[in-house]
Amino acid sequence: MPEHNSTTELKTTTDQARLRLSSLENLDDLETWRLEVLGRHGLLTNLMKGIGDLPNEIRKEFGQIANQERANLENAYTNRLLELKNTPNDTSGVDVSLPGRLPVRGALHPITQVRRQILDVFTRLGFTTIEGPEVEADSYNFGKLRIPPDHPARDMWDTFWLDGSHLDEKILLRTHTSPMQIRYMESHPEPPIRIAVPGRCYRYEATDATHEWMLEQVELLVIDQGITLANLKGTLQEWARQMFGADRKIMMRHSYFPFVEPGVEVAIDCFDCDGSDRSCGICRGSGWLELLGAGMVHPEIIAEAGYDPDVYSGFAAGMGVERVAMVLQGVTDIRHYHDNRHPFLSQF
Amino acid sequence: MLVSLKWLREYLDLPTELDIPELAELLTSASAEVEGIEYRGSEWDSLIQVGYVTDVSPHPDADKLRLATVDYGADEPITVVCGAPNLDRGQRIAFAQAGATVKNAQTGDNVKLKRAKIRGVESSGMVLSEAELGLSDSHDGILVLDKNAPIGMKLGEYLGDVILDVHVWPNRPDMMSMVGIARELAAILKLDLISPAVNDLKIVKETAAAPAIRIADETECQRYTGVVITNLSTAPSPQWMQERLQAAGMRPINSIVDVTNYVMLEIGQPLHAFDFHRLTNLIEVRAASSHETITTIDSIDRSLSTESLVISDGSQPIALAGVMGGIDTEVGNDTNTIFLEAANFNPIRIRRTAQAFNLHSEASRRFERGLSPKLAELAIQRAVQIYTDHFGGQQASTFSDFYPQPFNPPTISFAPNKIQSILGMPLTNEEISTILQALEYEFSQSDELYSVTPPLWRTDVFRVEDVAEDIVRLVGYEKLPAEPIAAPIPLWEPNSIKARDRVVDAFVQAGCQEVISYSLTTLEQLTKIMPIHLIESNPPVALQNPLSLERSVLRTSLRHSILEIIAKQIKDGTKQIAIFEVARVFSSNTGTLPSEKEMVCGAVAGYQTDRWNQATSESLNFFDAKGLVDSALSVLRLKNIYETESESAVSDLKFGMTAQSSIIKSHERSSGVIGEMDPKLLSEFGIDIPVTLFEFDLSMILEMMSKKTSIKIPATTPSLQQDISLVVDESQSAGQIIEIIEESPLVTNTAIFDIYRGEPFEASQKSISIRIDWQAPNKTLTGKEVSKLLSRLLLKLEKETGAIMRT
Repeated sequence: MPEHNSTTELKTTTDQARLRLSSLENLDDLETWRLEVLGRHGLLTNLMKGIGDLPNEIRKEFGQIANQERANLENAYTNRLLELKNTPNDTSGVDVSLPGRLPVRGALHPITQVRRQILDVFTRLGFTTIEGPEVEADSYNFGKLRIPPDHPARDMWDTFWLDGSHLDEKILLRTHTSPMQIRYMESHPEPPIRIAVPGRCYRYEATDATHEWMLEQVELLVIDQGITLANLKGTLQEWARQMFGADRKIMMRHSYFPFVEPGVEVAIDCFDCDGSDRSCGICRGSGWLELLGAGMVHPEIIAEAGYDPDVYSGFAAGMGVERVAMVLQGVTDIRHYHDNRHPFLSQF
Repeated sequence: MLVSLKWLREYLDLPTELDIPELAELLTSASAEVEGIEYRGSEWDSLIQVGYVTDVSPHPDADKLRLATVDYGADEPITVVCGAPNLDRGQRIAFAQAGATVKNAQTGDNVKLKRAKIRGVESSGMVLSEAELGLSDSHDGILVLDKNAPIGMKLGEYLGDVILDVHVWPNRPDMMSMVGIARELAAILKLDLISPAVNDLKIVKETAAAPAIRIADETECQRYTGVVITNLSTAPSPQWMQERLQAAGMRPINSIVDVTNYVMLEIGQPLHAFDFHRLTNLIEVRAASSHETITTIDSIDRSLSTESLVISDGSQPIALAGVMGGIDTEVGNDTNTIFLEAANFNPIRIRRTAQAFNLHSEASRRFERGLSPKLAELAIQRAVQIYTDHFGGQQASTFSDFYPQPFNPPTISFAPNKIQSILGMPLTNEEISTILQALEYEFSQSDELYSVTPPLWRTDVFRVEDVAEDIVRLVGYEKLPAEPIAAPIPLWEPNSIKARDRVVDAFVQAGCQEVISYSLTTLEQLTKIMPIHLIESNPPVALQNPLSLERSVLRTSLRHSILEIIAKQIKDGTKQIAIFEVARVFSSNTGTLPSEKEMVCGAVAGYQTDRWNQATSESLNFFDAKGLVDSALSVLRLKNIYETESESAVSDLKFGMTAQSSIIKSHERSSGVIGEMDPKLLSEFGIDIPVTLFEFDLSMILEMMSKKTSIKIPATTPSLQQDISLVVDESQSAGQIIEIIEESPLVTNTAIFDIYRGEPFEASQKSISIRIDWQAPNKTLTGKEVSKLLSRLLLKLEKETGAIMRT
């Protein structure tokens, strides 16, 4: 079937448009092209306007070809559009090194970050997190932990005493989270117990680079059948690996706390220098970082809770969150944490 | 406790070449913490040597100077000028040749000695004082060495020492002595302990009767021993003894007193020497009565209370038992006969007395830990031996011993595998028995049972766990295996800690920096941020012993802390501040512990930023803070209603806030407050830019979070959007209008996009432009249907708020 004139005209027109399209070099010209060719008042629309005048037998074919050509041109247009957009044809005025637009930034306090990190490990090890009061009775902070009044061990915990003359017993700001050992046992008639207790503690002592009168601790208490000192070591060893790295080792040394027997102090080997650097700023050349005190729960305390000390044994540990944070974050002065200055906090 | 390594060698055959840090680490690991190591004398110049003064002659031109001829081991003795009054022929002294570096006695600086002419006499060396060696501040005279000091030996070699600063744990009074430390080291290093020589007491000639000992309450004094020693004098003790006392941080006084201190340092039992002739024939140990006084040897008059334990001569106190002697019975220059006391006082009494008078002495520190009564007898024997051997003393009375209830350490029996099951490590019987022997336990074993008895000086061993500790610390903790807990994980218990973490996270996600501030503050700070009637009705709990006046009460609010931090950050130049804290506030209770409540408090202050993240001049305001709070709470799926002034009464919660403030309600409950702070209040914190503060009761947020909320499934049908403008009275809140619109059926979303005031409206009116999204869950809404819904909505709005749609 011979081509009708109008069909030929259509093809010529679209071919020219296609040719012009490939020569366009920027998006503005492309947009002009789009309006001229594909737009509501463009070439193709105009060509279609004449369709009514065509003979019937041609009209259908013309319509099909016109639609086909429109689709082709639209396709070509899209391709050219993508080409032009992706062509770095004009780099003037583009500088990706300019600062980005910053949204407002919030962050957890560094101590919160470390406290959570500590608790996350113990949660994985099956510990339940609980909390307790910051204001305590003398008996819970000391007496029930086998530190009676006038015991020389009280010198280990300098205490803020509170005005509580209307109460039966002296009250204080807890010096450690250990009172929660007692409170938890009292509220739980039977082991097993596996708890982690975070919280603020207070010490009546002057502030310096490594001491603050307000601090956070995390206390651990495990009581079950057959718990041994080796379990304490294993638990803390695993904690140290997860906190400080899979190669970390812990070291125990003899220590004394009236509520545990045996009592130990626990250090980890220095993750910064592996003990090889005599001038290491993290471990001060000792190769070890002292982190916490721990021990086997004293059998008298287990018995006092109403548990049979011949059946149940347990361990307890208490660590200072700031101490762990300083080691982990390389902060050399504890006072930064409560100073809350933006240049410090914004680094975490 | 300061431990001289030189002295320690008397009880232990330590190798000559010793790795001191390693020794310290061993002691720390197993026994007591070594807190410091001082290498005394290591800094002394090798040109400082032991010299011998062969001759002393006057200086030809100066009365106060003399010429000393000193043999220091060189071929020729040397003559130097010396101004010290105590210089004498025959002395062994510390001699520095010209060229040696010594300390300037006045400034403490290092100086190099030069050859010099002093008043015309050539002097190329110096006889040194303690100050010039850095041993003490004493520059009254030269340091006189022991008469056996080897001439020519380098002083660093002769006098040098390593001093360990050992922190002995409170349950080990037996280690508060040279012998105690040596005993531990002997067990650690598997060496033999060389005990100090002690002979049985032997009266040469009974010339005196010891005072009678009267103790009514033996719980106050478990044992009291004493003996009269005569033929003594108060001459200085020999140099070797003085050196040891000084190494331990004690000051030599005279030979009588020095021996008591020496024996205390050596064995651990404090002793007291009374001038026998100033005593009556009675020694009484009793509580003081409240009207009594005593003048102690430091010449201070002290009023006594019934808390204190005293030694009395029957009529009046003559010593604060275990803490300090009285001046009336003190050893004086003319003393030649003493009554020597070694007692075992009630530790609690000693501690209270020492605390009451702030008199913590070497003696009280030992008594308060609970010494073994066995030591008293041993100390008397040892002291008598030293007085006899070195000072010509003679025991002049029989040995008095009040000891009604002799102390016997308990015998502890346990099953053979008990130690292993406490520790969780395998140990052979031999390993256990070797350690128990090294620690001088008595030990017997059968197949079923071990029986052990700790030595007499140990007062801390009562049960098998104590024995287990002795075993493991000497086996070495490094040999202990690390075992995971084998028991099943206990059931989890519900708590709100994770939920609180989510609240904290929500504020962080909204762009807020978490802070941690102090729980202690002052009444003055609290008065700035809360109404006075609240402080009066709920006064903060006060500290009895604040460290400083700035930290004297427990805070009842977090607001002042937040404002203090804002002020600090502004001063720092921080341009954009959004901070918050979640912490406890405290209030006193009758009859129980103070109550503790967790609060969320934060604030926004500073400036908007431009394209370059630089502060503009436009302040962050109420709506920045409100947006932050809404963003945070929406993460927690809480939707807030902000009540305007007209709806809620002026509340204590809004204290110190401008009219731009609101109570925040969620789920029909007041949960918090947000508001711009009054500039006057801010100025009290030194803040001169706008601050918007928000505060929530955490428990309210947690309670609302625990409520179930339903999730709307997004519809797939198209939604229709319509913009309307409503003309309302100025006092009408937009919030109420939005609330009404959102309650309307098929409304899925609303947004205010303009507020207009001015022509053609009246001054008391405003126009609010709102975009409304309509959507039906299961069909496409037509324009007609929406028009119908809208006109119904407009009727309701007009009825309830008087709003008229602007056309």
